[in-house]
Amino acid sequence: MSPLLFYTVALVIIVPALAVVLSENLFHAGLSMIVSFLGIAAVYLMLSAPFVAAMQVLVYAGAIAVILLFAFMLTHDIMQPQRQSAKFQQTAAGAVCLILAGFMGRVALSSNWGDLNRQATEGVPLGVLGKSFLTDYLVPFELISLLLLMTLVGAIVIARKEEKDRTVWPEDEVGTDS
Amino acid sequence: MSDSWIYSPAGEYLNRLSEHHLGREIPALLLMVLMLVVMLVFLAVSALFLIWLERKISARIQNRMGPMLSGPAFLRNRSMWVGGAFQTAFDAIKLLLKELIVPGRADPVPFVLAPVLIFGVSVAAFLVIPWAPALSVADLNIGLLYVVSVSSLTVLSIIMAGWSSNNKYSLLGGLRSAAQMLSYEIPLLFALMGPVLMAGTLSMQGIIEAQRELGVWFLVPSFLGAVIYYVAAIAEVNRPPFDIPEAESELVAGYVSEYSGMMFAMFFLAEFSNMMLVSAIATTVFLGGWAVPGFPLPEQPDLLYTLLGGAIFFLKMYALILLMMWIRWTFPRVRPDHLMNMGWKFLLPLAFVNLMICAGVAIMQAEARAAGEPVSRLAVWGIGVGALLLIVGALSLFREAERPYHLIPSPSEKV
Repeated sequence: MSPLLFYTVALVIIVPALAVVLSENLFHAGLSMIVSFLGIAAVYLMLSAPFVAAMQVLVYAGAIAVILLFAFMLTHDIMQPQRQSAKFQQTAAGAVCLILAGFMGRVALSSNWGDLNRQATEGVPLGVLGKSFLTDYLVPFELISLLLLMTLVGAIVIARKEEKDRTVWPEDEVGTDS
Repeated sequence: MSDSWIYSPAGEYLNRLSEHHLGREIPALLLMVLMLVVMLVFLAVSALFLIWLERKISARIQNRMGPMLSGPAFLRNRSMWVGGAFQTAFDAIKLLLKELIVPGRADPVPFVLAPVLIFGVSVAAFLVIPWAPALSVADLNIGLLYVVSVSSLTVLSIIMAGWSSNNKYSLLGGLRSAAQMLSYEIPLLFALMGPVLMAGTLSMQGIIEAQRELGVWFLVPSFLGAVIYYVAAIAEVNRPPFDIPEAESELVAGYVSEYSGMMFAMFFLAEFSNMMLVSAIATTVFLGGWAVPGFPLPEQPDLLYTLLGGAIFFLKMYALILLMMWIRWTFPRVRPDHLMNMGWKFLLPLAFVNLMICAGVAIMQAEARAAGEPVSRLAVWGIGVGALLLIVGALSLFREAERPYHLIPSPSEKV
């Protein structure tokens, strides 16, 4: 992996990531997040994990971020730049970020990079990946699907609250075929 | 970086050619640029031709002549299929010369980037299409997944266009389009999963190879999947009867309302190249790609076979495109809530059923492989036709017993 390429990609991840946090325009923040996701996909590619890269693009850039933007479009009055988060929110978020950075720094410092680098450049065939998902890592794999199910149910519960005051449009009653 | 998962048959061919004539290989970067340019020109020219074809077909269906006046005089007053042959070329020149207008209150960066992104994404997705035995720009071993994941970014550019135009019609168009494309991506993916299961690979050439080995196109065991894919694909490219995002009568032109000149043309080009893309994928996955039963493959793919294979691929692809145009000019636009109902409550469950059928065939293949004998073609046909009959029967029973009308409250009922 050429270092120049890596640093370019790293910039493509970090600069939009900063823009996500600092941009006053929510829509721009969302778009920057997608650029950052694409940069992460590029890192997966450089680590010889094309499958993970494709999944990153499909799931994060193509679905999650799009749903986020979709939500922006449905939300009323979100383009007010003066909407500031509360002081205590900022402090709490800063603290969480620092703790997270500490953890990641610890992992980064204690890893044996030479070994990992060799493993990463070899790549894993798709079949092996699939097999290990359904054998060695079955429990985490299924747990993630459970998590998604919970989110789905939660979303439905929140959305259903408005069911009570649903109005019936006259057009719905007649002439609806199929 | 390991290159084992990037294999470019076309690049290798060009390299061999260059080595033979010039005595050295083409530099990798130059090769990439070269292939990209060829792809771009090919797509642009095809899109021009398809736009002309669409206009002529719509004219034929509506008993008109279509564009007849542009072009050299000797082509006029002949068959409707030669008159006005240069219409779209002139249209393109007109669009190229037009001023690019960015509305004053639009968000300029996403506004300008959206058309670039939508066409770029569709060009990028074309890189893995296997046109002929040894003719694909890149043969990734995650080929199909690559196409699907890259083209999932199309919806992003539509949202960008819709939002940044700062126009309520554009916004509504973008909103509808996002909902539609996200919903239909799911049945589309599940419909593709069945053939992938049977082929045991995601590589596009590998899927064609698997169909040749089986001796039957995947259309047979997974007919349902093919139909689901086709319907979902029409919705994905926002073509009628699923052109709700750009419904003229309600939304002007939806998310393209504010675009002019070449930026508008990019959206138009992308629509037609996406149409080619989904047809090319359907050809590869369900119709056996460049192969026909009884098509012998030579040891060394030479020029004749490449041309022949390419011709077969194009024949199949254009048949699907023509079907898409025929559908466009035949059916009226679907209502948005009907569209959502169909995607989630009808196509998705059917796609699951199709996946189960394909899994059955895959198990049969695995058993045959373990026993060391070829899969019986008759059994595959039997499974395909039997499952189809069963499903059609079950659906017709279901429709008779439970018309969906009960879901809609009757006038007397208060909700």
